[in-house]
Amino acid sequence: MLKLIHCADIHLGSKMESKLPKTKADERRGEVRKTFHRMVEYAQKEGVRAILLSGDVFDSDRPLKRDKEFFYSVIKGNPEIDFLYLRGNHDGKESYTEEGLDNLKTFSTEWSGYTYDNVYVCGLELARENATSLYATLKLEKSKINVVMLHGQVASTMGVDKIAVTKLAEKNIDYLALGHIHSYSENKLDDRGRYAFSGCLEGRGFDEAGEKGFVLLEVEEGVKSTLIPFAQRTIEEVEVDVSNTQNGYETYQTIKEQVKFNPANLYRIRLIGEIAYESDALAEDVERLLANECYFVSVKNHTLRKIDPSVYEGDLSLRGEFVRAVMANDMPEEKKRQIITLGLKALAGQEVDG
Amino acid sequence: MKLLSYHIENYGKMQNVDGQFGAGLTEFCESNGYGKTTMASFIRAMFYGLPTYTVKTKAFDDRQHFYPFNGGKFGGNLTFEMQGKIYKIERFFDKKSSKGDECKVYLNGEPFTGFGEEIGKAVFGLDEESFKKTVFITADEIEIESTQTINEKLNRDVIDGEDGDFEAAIDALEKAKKALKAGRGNNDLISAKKAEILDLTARIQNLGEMSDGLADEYIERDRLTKEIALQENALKAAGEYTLILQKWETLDNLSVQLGQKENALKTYTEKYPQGVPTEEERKTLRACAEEEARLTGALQTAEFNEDKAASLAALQQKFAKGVPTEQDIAEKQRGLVRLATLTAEADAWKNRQKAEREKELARHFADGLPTEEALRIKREEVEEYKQKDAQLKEMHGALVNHVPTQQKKSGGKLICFALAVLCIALGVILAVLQYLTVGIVIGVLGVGIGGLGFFLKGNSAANNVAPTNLAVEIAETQAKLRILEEKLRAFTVAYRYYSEAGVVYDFTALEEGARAYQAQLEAVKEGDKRIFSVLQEIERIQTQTSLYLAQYGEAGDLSEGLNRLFTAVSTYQTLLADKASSEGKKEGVQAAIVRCQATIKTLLQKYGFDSYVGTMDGLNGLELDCKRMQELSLDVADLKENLLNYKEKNGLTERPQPQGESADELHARLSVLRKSLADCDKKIAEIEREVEKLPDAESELEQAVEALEAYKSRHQLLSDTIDALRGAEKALKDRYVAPIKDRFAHYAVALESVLDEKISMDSDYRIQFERGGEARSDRHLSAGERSLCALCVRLALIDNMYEGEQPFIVMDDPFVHLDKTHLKRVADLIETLTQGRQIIYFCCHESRSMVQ
Repeated sequence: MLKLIHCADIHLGSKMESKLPKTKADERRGEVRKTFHRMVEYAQKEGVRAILLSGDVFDSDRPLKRDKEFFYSVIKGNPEIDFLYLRGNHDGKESYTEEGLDNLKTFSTEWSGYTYDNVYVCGLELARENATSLYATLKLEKSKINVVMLHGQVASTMGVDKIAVTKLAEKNIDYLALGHIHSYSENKLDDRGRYAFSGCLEGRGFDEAGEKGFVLLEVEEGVKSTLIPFAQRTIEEVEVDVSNTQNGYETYQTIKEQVKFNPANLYRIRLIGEIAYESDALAEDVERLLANECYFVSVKNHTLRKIDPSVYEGDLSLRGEFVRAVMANDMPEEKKRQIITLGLKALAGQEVDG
Repeated sequence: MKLLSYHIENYGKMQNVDGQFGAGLTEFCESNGYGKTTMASFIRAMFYGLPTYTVKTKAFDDRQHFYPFNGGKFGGNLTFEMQGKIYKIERFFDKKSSKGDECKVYLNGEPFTGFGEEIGKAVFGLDEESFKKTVFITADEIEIESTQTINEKLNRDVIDGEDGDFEAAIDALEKAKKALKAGRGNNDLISAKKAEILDLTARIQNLGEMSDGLADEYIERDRLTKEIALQENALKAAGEYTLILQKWETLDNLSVQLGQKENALKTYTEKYPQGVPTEEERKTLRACAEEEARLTGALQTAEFNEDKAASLAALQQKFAKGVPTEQDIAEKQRGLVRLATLTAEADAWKNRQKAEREKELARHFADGLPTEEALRIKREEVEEYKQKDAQLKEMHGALVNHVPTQQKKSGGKLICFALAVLCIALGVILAVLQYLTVGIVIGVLGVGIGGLGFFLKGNSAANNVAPTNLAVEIAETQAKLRILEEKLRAFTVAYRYYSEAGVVYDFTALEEGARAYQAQLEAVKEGDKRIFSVLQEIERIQTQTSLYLAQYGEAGDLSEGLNRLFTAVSTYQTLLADKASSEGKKEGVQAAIVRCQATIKTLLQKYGFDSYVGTMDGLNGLELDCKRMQELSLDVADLKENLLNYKEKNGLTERPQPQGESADELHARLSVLRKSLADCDKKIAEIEREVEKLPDAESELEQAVEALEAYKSRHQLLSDTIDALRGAEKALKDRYVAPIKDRFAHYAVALESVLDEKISMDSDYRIQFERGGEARSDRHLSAGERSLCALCVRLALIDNMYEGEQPFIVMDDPFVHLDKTHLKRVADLIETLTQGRQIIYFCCHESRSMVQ
């Protein structure tokens, strides 16, 4: 049985999108490298023959020397594993800098491939000149097990960075190893094959929440694919309704009740619901209270000020006049609540923050 | 609410003045100086008090202004009716401070505190400022505007709720807005954030340019890396060339070594043209030479020389009378051994040491031993003494048994006797030991004590009821014992035996000592006898040995002489044997020497060597040469083989030709290239360190942009809130100002007849009039006209402020600016306007009188 690993979008040297403090952002960048290295160690241990890198190994067309040195030293240090490196939209230019590495297998804008027993792994780096022709030029032997590598997003039309998967159906593809989308997904390509995004190894921001890792391919009669969660830390986004709370501390308690924090992970807590108390500093207050629960937590306050229009129906004061006037406006509901909250606060003689 | 009456105690120049107010218009129209302004001030002061005067007060305020010119109590009272109740305010003022003021309120003649401290506010619902702008009208107060308390009064059900100040709320929101975006300058969050974004953008751009610049550095690095690889290959080739050269050098060295060895070997072959003896032959040569030397030595040794002959002759003469036999010499030696033993024994006897016991006995019996007879006599006396003593004890026992109770009483007597005996004995001893005087004294003392004992005895006897015969016997026995004891003591003391153990003991010791000393004397005598015979034996041996040695000419110490004799005998015998042996061996040795010399000669001739080679030195030299030749031959053979092997192994068939650059040159160039690469790497690392900050800078920029958007959004929100609040406030004001506007419109109709202008009022109580179809501000009106408008506004305000009972109006000559024409019209107007109101009107000229 031949074992392969399909991974993509490692984005070595990438910035961290989760508004992490600088020290933690640096740490996370280091962890991205570590996780890649751990994956290679896993490959060694499991007897993986080749690692398929479906694009965006680096975050930049011009990766930093340090990241390149790290990447190529890992390749040098594991000569028994082939690294099939197909460049993506982020690392398209100056990523191949090493020469003479027998186990580094690269691709170009034309179809090329490598054979492992009865398995043929081929790939093509998407470019303007091959964006439409690649479908016609792909020729695969039916008798072989064919794994195809591409980097782009699945689309119904052809184009740069687009992969019209329907046009790859009936091409004798057993497994289409894609990169570009940072979350794992697998779908049917045709009666014979499937296509999958491995997702990234480590989430870099709250837009990359959820389980991250790589896909282990076990090739024998066919291709068996399994997602191996491998990230050092998981980014989780949780929505918590805090309507029944009366203050920040109760909000914190509600979050603690509803969210089972893993100390290693990063959390984005979205506070929702309607609250009747001052909430300008709610997110910051709750963040501080939760700071020791996990590696990093970000709290976003999306709560609305609880306002009962009926209370102001008979209110002849300026306050009543103000609330009624705002509520009668056709602006978005959230904005109405915000204006009312601010106005009432000002009328109550409280200080209004800029 | 109406003013009813007043009493001015002292206020300005008014003094003790009383007056009444009418129900409608009450006019005080007096010329200047009468005090109408004083009066008006008095009314206001009764409701609101007077301001405190301090040194900092710059204005000439009412407290100063109306302080009584002639002194006296400053103030008075004012009576008014409100909601059917009669109130009287009584106030007296301090000269300077309101703290010294006195104020009392009476309701229907009873003290009343329901108005609190601020009576005016409680009565009119207005502060003093608002009071001046409404019910208290002067010519100066023609600005038409409402105050907060007027607004509060107007919207009492609306504003007097939980809400705070509208303006304060707007101010707070505006302040928050300004914190985000200041009206002027850049000291606000949005400007700061924009500046930060600009900085970050510039920084990112800069980092981006640095990142772009990295491309050139990477290219340069690639170039250097490739160049280094090329140079390293060249260096490797140069290294190989150098290696081959080194191998050729090694081969050349081997050839040189071979030549040197061959030359050395050649020197030896030339030295030995007929060759060199084989190892066997060399061994034979060496053996013969050594044998010849040994035999020659033996020949010399075997020869009986003159010295030996002389020695032999001397010994033959020494032993002319015969050679001593070994047995004789041995016997004499045994005799000398015996002599030594006997001498030692005699010396030991002479030098023997006496034991302590011997010395002690010698001291006891230094004056000679007692005779046997004397001892016998004394022995008998001792026996007698013992016997008497035993008897005495028996008698004492008998006496005790008879008179046991009195035995104790005779204890003192016994002690006396005992002491007496002791003293006497001691005296005797001392006398013997030559302390005669002391001995006599002690002896006399002993006698005295003895007498005392008898005296005691006499007493006891006198008291004794026992048989007196026993006592007499005891006394006699005791006397005998003493005599015996003295005799014995005298005897023992003569031999220095005296102890506290008593004479019996001392005698026994003396007797034993005498026996021991006798035995000792006999032993010495026996020893002396033995030593005498030993000395005789010693003399005999010495004499015999001396005589024996003298036969062979030996004298002096016997032992040494005997040894010399023994040596001489041995030498004599050896010399005799040597002489016999020498004569027997000499011929055989000479024959063997000849044989060795012949063998050596044969071998030397074989190789053409001279005779020197046959010597040991020559042979040693030959041996070294042979060994060296053998080594050189082996070395030559080895070197030849090594040479061939090395050449073959390293493929050294042809010397290589010199190549382009030398290794040193290549090293130098490589060093330069490597340094350039290191510099390039350093530069890349420095740039990358900066470029590494790009993601963080981008994140910061994103956050800054996000924050800016949030600020802008917040700013917009604040603006929207302010707008909403203002809109609400305007709507509210419109709703509640409308009645005022209506009332003003009501009064404006009458006003138009006076001013010939169409007058209107907006929501902010601003007065406008139309002229030429255009709305104009009341500021375009004359002061007199404006005072009329102000009156109408105030009336409209008052109409709306007080739903029920309306307050009086004080007019302090408000129309001073009106001309005659207008004044005439105003009088009609006032009548119309003030219907149903109490007006207190002050003026200083008849022309402005309102009384028709």
